This record gives sequence, structure tokens and C-alpha cells, in this order.
Amino acid sequence: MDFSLFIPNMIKIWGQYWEVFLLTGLKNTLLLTCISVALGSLLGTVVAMLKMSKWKPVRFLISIYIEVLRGTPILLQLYVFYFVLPNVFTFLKLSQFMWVAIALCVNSSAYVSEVIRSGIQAVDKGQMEAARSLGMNEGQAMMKIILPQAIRNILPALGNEFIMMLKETSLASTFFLGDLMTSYAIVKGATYLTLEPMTIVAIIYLCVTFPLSKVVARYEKKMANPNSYKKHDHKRKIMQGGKI
Amino acid sequence: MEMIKTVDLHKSFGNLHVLTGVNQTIHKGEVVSIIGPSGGGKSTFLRCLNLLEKPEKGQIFFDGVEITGKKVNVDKHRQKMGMVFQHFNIFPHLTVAENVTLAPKLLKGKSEAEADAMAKELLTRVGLLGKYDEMPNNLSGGQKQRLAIVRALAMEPEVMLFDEPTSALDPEMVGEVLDVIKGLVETGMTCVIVTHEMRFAEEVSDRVLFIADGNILEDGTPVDIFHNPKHPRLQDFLKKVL
Amino acid sequence: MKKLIAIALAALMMLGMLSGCASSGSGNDTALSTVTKGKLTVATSPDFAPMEFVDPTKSGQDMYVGFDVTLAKYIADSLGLELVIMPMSFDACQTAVYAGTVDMSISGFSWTEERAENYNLSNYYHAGDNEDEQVLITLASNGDKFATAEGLAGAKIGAQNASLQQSLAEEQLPDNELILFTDLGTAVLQLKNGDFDCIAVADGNGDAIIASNPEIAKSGFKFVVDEKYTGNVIMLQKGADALTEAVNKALDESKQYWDTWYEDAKSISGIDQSYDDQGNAITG
Repeated sequence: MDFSLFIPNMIKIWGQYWEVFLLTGLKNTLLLTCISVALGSLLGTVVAMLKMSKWKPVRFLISIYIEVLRGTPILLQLYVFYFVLPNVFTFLKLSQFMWVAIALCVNSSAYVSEVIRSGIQAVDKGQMEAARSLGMNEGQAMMKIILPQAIRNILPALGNEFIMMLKETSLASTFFLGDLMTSYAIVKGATYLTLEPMTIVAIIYLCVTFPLSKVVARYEKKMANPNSYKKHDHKRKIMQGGKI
Repeated sequence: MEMIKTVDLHKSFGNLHVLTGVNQTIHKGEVVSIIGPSGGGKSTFLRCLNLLEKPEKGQIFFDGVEITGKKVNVDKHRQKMGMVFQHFNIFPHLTVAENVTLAPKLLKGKSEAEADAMAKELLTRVGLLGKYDEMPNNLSGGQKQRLAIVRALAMEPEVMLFDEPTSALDPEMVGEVLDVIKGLVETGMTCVIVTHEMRFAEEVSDRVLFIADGNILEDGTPVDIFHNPKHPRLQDFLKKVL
Repeated sequence: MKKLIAIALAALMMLGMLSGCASSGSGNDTALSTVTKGKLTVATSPDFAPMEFVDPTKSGQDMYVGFDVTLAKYIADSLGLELVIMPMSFDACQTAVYAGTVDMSISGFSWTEERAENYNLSNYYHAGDNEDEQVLITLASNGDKFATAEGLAGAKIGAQNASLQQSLAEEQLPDNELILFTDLGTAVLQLKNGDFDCIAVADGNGDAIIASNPEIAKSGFKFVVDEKYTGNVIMLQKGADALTEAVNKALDESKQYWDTWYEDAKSISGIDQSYDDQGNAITG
């Protein structure tokens, strides 16, 4: 195959379509990822709590929820959310973009809930016992003692989920929602050039994911050190004030 | 005055019947040590007293209230029962001071200043004031356990439960923790102590319980238990540990 | 409370599964009732210049251009409805019609028996030379090596799966190895890689490909195109007879404009532009 036109073509495509790649594609990809991971984390926390519920039927239903979402292709879920649910919930006047965002958010919740659950369960059982023995109820113990410790295990995994989701949003291009892969499809459809726009899109994805995964890895390494708990600076000031 | 009373307490883990109908009354101001072989049920008995383990059968009365009953707010009662664990269970994400002040502020509505003043006083008593602002990871095992005792005391409990407080400590640190407990006993605090330290039990206790095979096999003064054991299981046990 | 949330979530999932089956079949039986009142919702896969593609200089609904989009506008106007284009992949277009998410799909569909069984299909429409002329494209360096059936002996031919080109190649080049693909853009890459020697394409698509890929040229071979192949159809939900009839009427009325629309679409997509040997557009 002849590569002599590859670079000139890429420059040409970039000059002509850079707004499609960056202003539309990258913007929508980031927007979709942020919405999905943020709402997915909230929903995932609820799901994780329900999964640890005392009620067996609740645990059972949540297991089904998680298994269905983790055991079926995300593209299939996207179809259900895009074609089926708007027909069921006709009173919800949501944009196509939001339906796809909800699909990704629900999918993300299944993975995030497991991340949160294992993060919580990794906290020593004695911590919960100590908190309860002081007279805290389950909620207080969770909020004040367990979650602040679990968050150290959870955050790096959430960072990885963000990176995963950033790539999963490419499936939104099935519905031309304007994400990065859509911009590839648009440019490919208009120019019948494939490799060039694909390379451009790959570089943009990497420009986001590579620094992100470096940050996550650094944080992970830091958190693995048990001596890494730091004093809360604002509280420390109050206490030093109290000493005087 | 009765502080804690158990009636026919049963507890199983799976097929293992750990407590087989324990009846016991602990009075206000009493210091009771619990000794016995591992797996005999002594820790489980202690953990039942503040319902960290839920007994399947039987009743527990605390200050005359049946806390095993339905509609009882266990959390309220636990606030009056301090507990010290074998593995300290210090909160690693909070400073030494915060470990002490969190529960009083959260549960008893103490102001920052009140809780802080109390924390300083308590930490001084156990010689940890110098660590006031440090993170617990910088503490030795003995220091952590002293902090755990202070954390429980900050709730101003009516009774202190100790679950093998020195078992996880290096030998050179056992003394400092026992000294703190002794100091506490001198203030008249009601204490229930599960321990392997026989000399210590003999020294501080008003009464000693020998628990094996899921029940109290012998209950008496330290002199009776250690110098005039009657039950063959106790005689056998003491022969092994002394 | 916790339990309620869990049950609601599970019920939602099940409902989704069930309604996937339930919502099929039922068509728009009252006259011209549409998915959204007052609007004509049309699915299209805008990666197929000059039939349907995106004009990146525009935004919103205006970015969707091409012959099929112009046709959709004409149909919507003649029905007194506002056109809403819903872009999605070619596969998803069929699902959208089936699930009733859209009123119809106009996306360069050819007539096939299977489609006719599961959908209402409109009468044929054909866009300029797009379907009339079916050609082979190959690497320009091959010259006129593949211009004749004899020259093509032993050559590997690529064609889009379930397409008109597949039928033509099977019928008129029965001795050649036929390799099927799903995406034309990727197939162009495969052609450059030497996975096959020629691709069977509609002439209009061929022009669009060559416009951006100067190393590709038409081989000189043309298929004989029978009447039955020349049309595209619009895909509607099975049983939406009133709407199908109205669409057919609009198609009839619009015949006179087809050639103009097609030329317009080609010029927007830049197919008529000339390129120098560096691939830069020559203007003026």
C-alpha cells in the first residue's frame, strides 16, 4: 500500500475538519464520559449499598441487575435504551443524547457498584465494630469511618472506570451523537479516507487517556502506602488554635 | 446494684454451639476477669454483652433494660459500654485527637472545645498528649492500645469491656497497657476483661470467671480460682498456663 | 425504601426486555399518524456521500445533506410535516423502523425479499447515475488491466454485503472470487492494502472515493444493470399502509427533480472538484 499520501492527507483532513474532531468530537466524548461516570458513580453507590443489604430478595434482585449489565454487550444495552425504553417511558421527553448517556450511566453503575463494594469490604472488619461499639449507628459508621477509608481503594478504580468509559462512549457513534468516533464516521463518509481520520481520532483519544492513566497509576502507588494518611489541614489549624 | 445480667445466653456459629446457656450477673464497680482456653467462648460472651454478636436465645439486661428485646435502640446502650479490641481498631484516617473526639462530638453533641479539653485530659492520663496531633500509623502497638482505651473512655461509659487487650502486643509493651487498665480500675470503673495474663487477672479482679466448652465452669474470687481450683478442666488449664 | 428502589430497578429492566417484543408489529394504522405529532422522523446513516452525509460547516439538523435528505425534506413538506433527521448506523436504521422509533428510513436501501417481508417498502426511486451505472474501481496503477471480463480473470472482487453490487458481481463475474465487506470506507483501505483487486461500487460512490483517493481509479469495467436493480426504496414499519401510500405519491411527484438533487448533492460533497497529484483541490 502507498503511504506517500498519508501525511498530506492527514494534514488536509485536519485543516478541513479540526473543528469536527475537537469542538464537536472531543467535547461530546468528554461530556458523555463525565455525565456517565458521575451519575454512574452515584447510582453505583446506591447499588453497592443495596447489594450489601440485609434483605436477601434485595441482594438477589441487585445481583440480577449487575449480572445482566455486566453479562451483555454494551452495544445491545444501548439499543434497548435507545429504541425500547423511549417507547415504554413515553412521558419522559429526553433527547437521544440523554438516552445514550443514561444507558452508559446504568452500565457504569454495575461496574462502579462492584468497585465500591470491594473498596468497602477491603476495609478491616474491626473498623466497623469499633465504630458500632462507640454507639454509632450503621449510617454514621459508614459515613465517618468506613467510606473515608474505602475511598482510597475506590478512587483509583474510578479513574480507571473513567478511562474505560471514555473509550466505551465511542459506541455512541452508532447513533451519530457527535462523539469522537462519530467525527471519524462523518469525515470517513464525506471523504472516503479511512486510515487518516482514524489516526487523528486515535491520537486525540491517547492525548486524553495517557496522562489520565499516568495520574491514576501515581495515585494508586501513593495510596498503597499505609503511612499515606495525611492530617486534614483545615482541622489541624483549628486544633493548634485551641492549644494557645 | 446489677449492671449487666445475662439469662440463658445461647450463640452458635454454624454447627458450632459456642455459648450454651450462660447465666451471669456483673455488679456496678466490679472488676471481672474472664479466663479460659481458646475457642471456649470467652470472647464471644464478651462480644454478646454489647451485642456485637447477636445471641440466638436468651436475654441480656443492661441497667435493668433488656437490650435483647425488640425496639431497643442498641446504639444508645452501646454508648455507655466502652470496648477495647485485641487489634486496637484505631481509625487510621483520623489524628490521635480526632480518634478521641469524633464519637463524643457526633453522638453526645459535645462542642469542639469540650471534646478537645476532654481529649487532652485523657491523653495526658495515658501519656499520649505528645502524640495529640499525629496520625495513628506513627504509634507503637502499646500506644495504639492506650489510645483505644482513651477513645472508649471519652464516651464516659459505665462499663468497660476488654477483649484480650494485650494479646497482639509485643511483650515489652504489655506492661504499659496493663498499667493503664490498673489505673482505670482504681477509679472504680466497672470492667470486664478477657485476658491471658493470669497474674494481672489475679491482681486486679474482684471476681474471675473460667469459661470453657461454651459456659462458665467456675466463678469465684481470684484466690479461689487460682489457688483452690475445683473443676478438673480449670485445674488442667491452670497447670498448662502457669 | 431500599427494597422499593431495587424492585423498581428490576422491573424496569424486565419491562425493557418485554416491550422489545411487544412494540413490534403494531403499525401506524390511523391516517398519517407519526411518531411525533406534526413531525416526520427519518432515520438515515449519514456516511454515504453523496446520498447522505454530513456537511461539517453546518450544525444541528442542517448538517445532514445529500440526495436522500433532500428527498426526505420533499416528502415531509408534501405531507405538511416538519422533518426530523435521526442519524444512526445503517444497521440501527432498520432497528429504528422496526421498533417504531422513527416513521421511516431513507438511507439508500435496495429492495430485497427479506426486507419486503418484514417492512413496508416504497416504490423505487433512483438518484441520477448512482444506481444506473455500476462500476469497478481499482488502483490507478493497474491502468486498464481490469477493464474487460477477460482481464478480470482471477481477480478478487470486493462488494458490500447484501448489496446490489454483490448480486451484480455474482451474476456477471461468476468465476471471480468475491469478498464481502460491511463498510465501504474500510473496503477502500483494504483495496489499497491489496486484499482485493477491485471493488464493485455505484458510479456516484466511485466518484466520491476517487475524489479523496487519487491513487484509485475506475477500472473501465461497467456492469450491465437491469431495470430491477436501479431503484432504492424507503423503508417503513410493516402495516403503515397509509403512510407508505402517501410516500409513494410524493415520490411520483418528485421524479422531475431527482437529477437536479443528485447533481447538487455531488457538488456539496466536492466530488466534482479536481485534484492535483498532491491531493489538493484545484479551485477555479
